[in-house]
Amino acid sequence: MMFRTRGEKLFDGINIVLLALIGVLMLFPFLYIFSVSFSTLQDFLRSEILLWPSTWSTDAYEYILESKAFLRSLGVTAYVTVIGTLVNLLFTATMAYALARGIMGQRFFLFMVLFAMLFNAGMIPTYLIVKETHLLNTLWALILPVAIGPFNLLVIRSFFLSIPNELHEAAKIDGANDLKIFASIILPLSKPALAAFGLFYAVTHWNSYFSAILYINDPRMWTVQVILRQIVIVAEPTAALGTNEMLLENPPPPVTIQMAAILLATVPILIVYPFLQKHFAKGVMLGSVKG
Amino acid sequence: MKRFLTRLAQEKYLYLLLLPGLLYFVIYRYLPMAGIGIAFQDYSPFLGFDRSPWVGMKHFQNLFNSPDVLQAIWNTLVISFLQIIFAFPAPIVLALMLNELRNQTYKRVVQSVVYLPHFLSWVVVVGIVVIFFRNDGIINDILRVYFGVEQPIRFLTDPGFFRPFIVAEVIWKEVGWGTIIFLAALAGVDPHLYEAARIDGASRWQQMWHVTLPAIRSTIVILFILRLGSVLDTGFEQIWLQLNAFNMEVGNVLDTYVYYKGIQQSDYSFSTAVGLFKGLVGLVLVMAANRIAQRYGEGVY
Amino acid sequence: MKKFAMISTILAIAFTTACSSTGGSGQQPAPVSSTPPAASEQPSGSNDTPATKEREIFTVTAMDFRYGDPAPLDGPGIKMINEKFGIDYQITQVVNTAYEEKYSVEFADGEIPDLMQLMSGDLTNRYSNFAKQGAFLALDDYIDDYPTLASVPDFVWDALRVNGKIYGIPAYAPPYQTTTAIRKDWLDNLGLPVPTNYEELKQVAIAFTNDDPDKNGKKDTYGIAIGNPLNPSYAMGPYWDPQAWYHKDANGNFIPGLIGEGRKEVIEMFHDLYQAGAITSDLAILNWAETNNEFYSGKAGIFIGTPRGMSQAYMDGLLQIHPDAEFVAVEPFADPTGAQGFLAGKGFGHITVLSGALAGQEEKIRRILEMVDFGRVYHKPEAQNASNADFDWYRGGEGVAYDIVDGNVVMRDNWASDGLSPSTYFVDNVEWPENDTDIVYATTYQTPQLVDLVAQYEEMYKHIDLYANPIIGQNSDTQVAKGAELDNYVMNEQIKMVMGQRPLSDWDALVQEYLARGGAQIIQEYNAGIKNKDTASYWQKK
Repeated sequence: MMFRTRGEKLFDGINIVLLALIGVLMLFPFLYIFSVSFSTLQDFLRSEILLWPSTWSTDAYEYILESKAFLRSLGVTAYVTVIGTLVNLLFTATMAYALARGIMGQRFFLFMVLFAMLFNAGMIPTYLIVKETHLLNTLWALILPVAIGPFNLLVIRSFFLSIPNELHEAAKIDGANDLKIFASIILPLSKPALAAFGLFYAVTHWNSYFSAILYINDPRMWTVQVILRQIVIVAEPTAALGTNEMLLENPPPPVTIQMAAILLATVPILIVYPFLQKHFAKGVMLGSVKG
Repeated sequence: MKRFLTRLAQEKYLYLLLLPGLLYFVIYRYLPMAGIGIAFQDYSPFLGFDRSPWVGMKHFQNLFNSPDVLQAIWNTLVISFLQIIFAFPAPIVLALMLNELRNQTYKRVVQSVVYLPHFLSWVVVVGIVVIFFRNDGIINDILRVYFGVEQPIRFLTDPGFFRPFIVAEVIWKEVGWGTIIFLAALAGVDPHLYEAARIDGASRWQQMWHVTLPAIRSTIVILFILRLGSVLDTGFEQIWLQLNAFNMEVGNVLDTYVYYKGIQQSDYSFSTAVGLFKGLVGLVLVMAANRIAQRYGEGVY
Repeated sequence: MKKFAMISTILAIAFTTACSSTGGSGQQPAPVSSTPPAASEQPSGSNDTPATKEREIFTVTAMDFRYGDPAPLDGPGIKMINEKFGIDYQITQVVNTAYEEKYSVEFADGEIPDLMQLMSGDLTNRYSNFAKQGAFLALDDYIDDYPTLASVPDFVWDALRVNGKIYGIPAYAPPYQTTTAIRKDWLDNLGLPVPTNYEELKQVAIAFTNDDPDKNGKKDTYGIAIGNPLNPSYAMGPYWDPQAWYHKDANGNFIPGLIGEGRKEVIEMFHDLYQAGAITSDLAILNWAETNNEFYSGKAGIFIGTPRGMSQAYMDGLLQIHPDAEFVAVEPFADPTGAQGFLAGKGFGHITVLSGALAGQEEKIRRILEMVDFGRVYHKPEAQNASNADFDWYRGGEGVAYDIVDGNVVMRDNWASDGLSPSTYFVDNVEWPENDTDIVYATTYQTPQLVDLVAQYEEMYKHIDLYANPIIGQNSDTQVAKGAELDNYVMNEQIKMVMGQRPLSDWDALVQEYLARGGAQIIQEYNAGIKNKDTASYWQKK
């Protein structure tokens, strides 16, 4: 039975209201994108802020969805995202755990990870290695070279560190080795962290664009972002050093199509998120340490 | 030697777990680093490493030989600093607020909404900012019609507004997404600790102070230290889209400065050199911060 | 060139554009030496090629940037190409935003394509640098053997020379620049004539702001639509064009238009208009799309247009808001010397290059050039149908990749996405016409008002003089190294002057700043190569 003081009820109320305001603030641009994408270009020109289409038009969506390349890229990207994320979690979690148990040389390895986070060799040397490892023109080129994000590894490791030592002791006494402990105890307890970083990795894969172009020549294996940039001028800030001539060749693209492209690229991830959300619920550690 | 082998045997499974990641780093992160040499060449992709001329420190000199670069670095540091002060804690605060909600459905809904802006590209975000804050924009219209403000406020060209806008935009875009890590950390807090505190008579605030925050302290510290590693990164796109004639002095950051310098030629050497510089600065800061953190029992390594 | 580079960089802010790979529809009449395939097979080095003997099959790797539904790697078009030219054609086509990185890694990898295209903006840097490093094949000896190459004018070839040799094949670009267009209906409503000088233009802009030209009783219109950075430049002749090297300094050297007297006049006009509220008040921040919106939403009455690349969709949008809108193309203004005309475009856009590694492989080179030549052939409209075997083949076959509807060629929806048309795969698929006026763009649009405006432009260009920029074909290392930064600086200062943040009287000081920061070297380097300093001689008179 919990007592809540007047002050605390006030706090609750303010909290709820504030969060509602924040929610609206975050939501409205999506509303804007949503309505522009379902509007006609004329309506958009007439008044820039449309929070709801005055005339509904699915032209923008038809334009994109008619592209077979786009539909195929959805499938390709979904595949890369799922497999890629699994690979990510596998590689990251194993190494993070190994480095959370006081392994010999641990500081050296950790420094190695940190160093890799801060220094990047660059596009060309990485490409050459990707080529040498025979990944060119395969979807694995989008997965293996980014198998671990050093930042993610270091943070997941800190989550592992927060798991009480008693758990390990108890398991060791029961005769389990490190592998078993990792697989059957640590991983289940780390669901929130794994869900969170799984989401991070997944979003990165979903948005992959540059690597796809660099490593893959076959358009059938291109990702969503690549196809969108092909068929829609998804406005780039620094768009190629296009000259006057290039501008003369291609006029500004209808904003409606750009907005539709954005929504189509984002929606799949929005759908996935709620499923992962439940892992951020409280009480996961409940009952793990007895007494 | 014997100790080494015994330990190896004891920890063999850990080494097994270590192996895949280690291989990854060696192959895909460290082997390519041999190519860092292009920072010291006038690299041409056609000539390759072998035939591109070596120029020593030329690119680093080039980077620093203009007085503008110091201003660019200063701007970068200021904006980064502002972001660390304001944008870094924001997700923590929001996570705590969400954590305090009792109605789980409401919490889920809000959680699902606040992370949405993360998915918008800067092009879209800046486009929206322009619509609202330009001289003919909505905000100025409201000010004129309802508040009698005759002359439009130059939100987007006045240098005084630039940095606050940048930071506010970053907060708006990333605060929701940033809560995810903290929510995950909070999920791991043993509810019994809260009960125990309540039984001891702790108020909500005291619970937050003595249970919640300590629980995520490690996460906060490590995220903070790692954030320092990217202190010279401000994000090119966001800034570049909003630079104009009037805010160049406060807005030109290292990344945009480098862009203008290298834009005419695909100067991989120059950009690699800049990357080295940034990494070095980041490394020094991270190591220093880590040393401090270690004194409090925290730290990255 | 540097003006191109600078303005283009900034123009490109909102846009990714890639070379449209469509062989456009509706190209119009003119006699051009059409090349029947047999004639373009030149006698090659080693083998004689009597019709019965098997030709050696060459593997030809190619790279190109494209926009639009990606074509499959093995579409029917590829097979047709392989059969026709006796090659194994392997082309990689990527979106242009990552094109440069893509070919950079290919180069670094040692995999230089036999055939590839460079963007127009690469002329003075990447094209030139790589040519000097030996990446490309010198083409001088082959030009006369291929009709579409031989018909390229000398001044265009000169622009492509590096150390005296030609390394690239230019893709055709029409001479049209962006030219001012004004709402004719508004002029008529206010009883104003089409302006012939900047003072009149200014008065028109102010009238559009204050005198309710759309007669709706509201003050919701204004004059000139312009965005960041002072784009479009509203240059009504090379005298005022920031990209034109028209003015001279005290030593008789050409100087960039950006710091010339004409530009000063334009900046002063912009300033006055800004004071009067007759020009886009957000000119310092709007990108190109947003600037277009100012005009196409019916707020501004003065903007630009151009024959190629107008947006049907935007025009239709405007016509829904203002159904009575009409447009007039504004003729160039006469400058103080009496000269009247526009800066000429350089006449080409993208550049096609062959790999330097091909040197010595005569037959393969000729095979490739045969193909390149074929893709550049211009077919008159009456020859654009199935009875013209070359055209029919190139477009992919009537009934397969295209249909003839009302006498016009209409490509089917999947002509590119299914790779049905060989033209999709040609690196240079832009026709090179005999005369610029051979290609008529007006009929590529459907909206009558747009057709009318474009027709006005095309008519105008038939009789106005064009000024050839003296710096075309010249190089300046300082421009390549510092040009973007420097031009950006000057541009920003000029914006400040327009908006009143810096006094117009600082003009000379600004010019000095430009010179001190590297402008003097740039001027010197360019002029070192310009032998002919007679301004009048650069006019291509009609």
